Amino acid sequence: MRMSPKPVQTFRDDFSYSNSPGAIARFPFPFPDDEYRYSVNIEPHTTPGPEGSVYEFLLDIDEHYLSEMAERDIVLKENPQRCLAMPHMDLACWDMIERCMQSLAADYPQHFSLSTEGDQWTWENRLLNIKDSFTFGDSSTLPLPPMEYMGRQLQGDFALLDQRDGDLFLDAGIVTCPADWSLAFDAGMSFSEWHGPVPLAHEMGVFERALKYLTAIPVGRPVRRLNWTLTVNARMDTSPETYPNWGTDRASLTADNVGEKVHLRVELQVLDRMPRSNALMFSIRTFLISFDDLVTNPDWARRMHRVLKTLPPELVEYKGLGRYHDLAVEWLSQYDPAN
Amino acid sequence: MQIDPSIKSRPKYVAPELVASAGLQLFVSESDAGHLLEPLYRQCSESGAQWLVAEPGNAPGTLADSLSGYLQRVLSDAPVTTRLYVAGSEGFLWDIRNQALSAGLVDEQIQLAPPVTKARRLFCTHCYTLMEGVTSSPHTCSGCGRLLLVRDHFARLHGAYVGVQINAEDPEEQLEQEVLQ
Repeated sequence: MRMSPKPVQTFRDDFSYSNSPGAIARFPFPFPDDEYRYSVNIEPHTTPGPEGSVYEFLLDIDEHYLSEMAERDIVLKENPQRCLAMPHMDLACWDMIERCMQSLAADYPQHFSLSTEGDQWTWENRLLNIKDSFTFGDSSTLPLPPMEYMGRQLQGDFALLDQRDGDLFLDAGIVTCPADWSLAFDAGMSFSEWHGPVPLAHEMGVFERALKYLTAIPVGRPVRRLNWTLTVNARMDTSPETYPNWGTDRASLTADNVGEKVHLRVELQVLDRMPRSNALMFSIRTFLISFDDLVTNPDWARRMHRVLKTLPPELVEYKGLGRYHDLAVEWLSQYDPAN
Repeated sequence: MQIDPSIKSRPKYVAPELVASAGLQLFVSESDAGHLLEPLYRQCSESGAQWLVAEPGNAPGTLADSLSGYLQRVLSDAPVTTRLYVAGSEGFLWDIRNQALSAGLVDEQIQLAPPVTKARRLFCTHCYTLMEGVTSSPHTCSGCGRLLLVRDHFARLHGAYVGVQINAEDPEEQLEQEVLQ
């Protein structure tokens, strides 16, 4: 089913975030097998995908739109450096504005519209009561820097990767809901550098192969992959910056609150070539589902148990699950008859 | 499968070698690291080589900042075959390299000698403070006071390793001090 934005819920303090039955049904459950292993799991993001699914359009807008935009505003007000764009990325930012505005207006005409006359553009976002006219390509005609202007109207984190010397460089982005990585620290890094802390995968040649694939993506042929971790509480901002605020969440778990507090966090990552700058737009759309909601699907419940039970220790450590991995496996085992 | 525990963003350094064909041989060092470049400098003809030495002073900013104006002037007139050799502490090496890139050099023209000390520059991921001369982990952040685990994840743009609060999950945790390698 298609999702309409609902009133603002929170991803912090009282964590009022919840998924409707429709949102649970379309959740992108990421495991094709009972055992999770690294792979270069990249596939074409051909649109339109199945109607109502998270793969239907280039950019997914769902019932959490207003909540996520409110959360992003809180994060950026607290720390404006969660959004940055190096000066040479201005053209790529405008590529991103064009691609996102055109996609949103075409895919969600009830919420967004775009009219253009030469380089005079008018953009309307009825969900956020925004209506702006500006000169395309002229950043001084926007009320905010282009990355922040567009990023504040999109669910998920965005990065723009500059392609040079056969490598990709993290030179712009808006990152307010990351799975434990810092844009301010990683800015300017090459592909293998920003994946530096990931265990095992370098030795398997995963990044080398992925980089070859990604640098060859042509305009108009986006690709996607899913990534996952677990998050305690429905917390979007699990950044290193704010880790002192959420580190203790992990110690708050007991056998009685695992189902309510532990969330499967899935990232739908899409990479899309920008036509003028040759940059790649990297969107990281995050979906959260509580274990209580996840186990309403018996197939997911059984598989989640098996994936966690067989997860290599290096990945348990890297994903920050050490303190509650056993507890989560034990709780899920009640949904797996084979145990 | 052989597991290499090192983090891939951590740079590996090799001793610089003179590229004899360079139109300008440019040497930049901190005052206590000159011996690393001395043998190379001796092989150069006097007319084709220049050496800039950064002396510790009281100026604000990093040591590399004090050279910035002069380095930009030298590089703005430098031939395209210029080679740059840098020696000093690790943060200094990358500051000079970043200045050289913004002046139009490319990495192939630049050689960084193995850092003269194991002390690291540290970036606090919570308050973004940069600290110099960090020799052990955990290290107390001079900006926010948090106790930081010094990781091997390195950012060339900052010339720094990342520090993350070590006891955020359990403030009572007993911690051992480790000397950085």
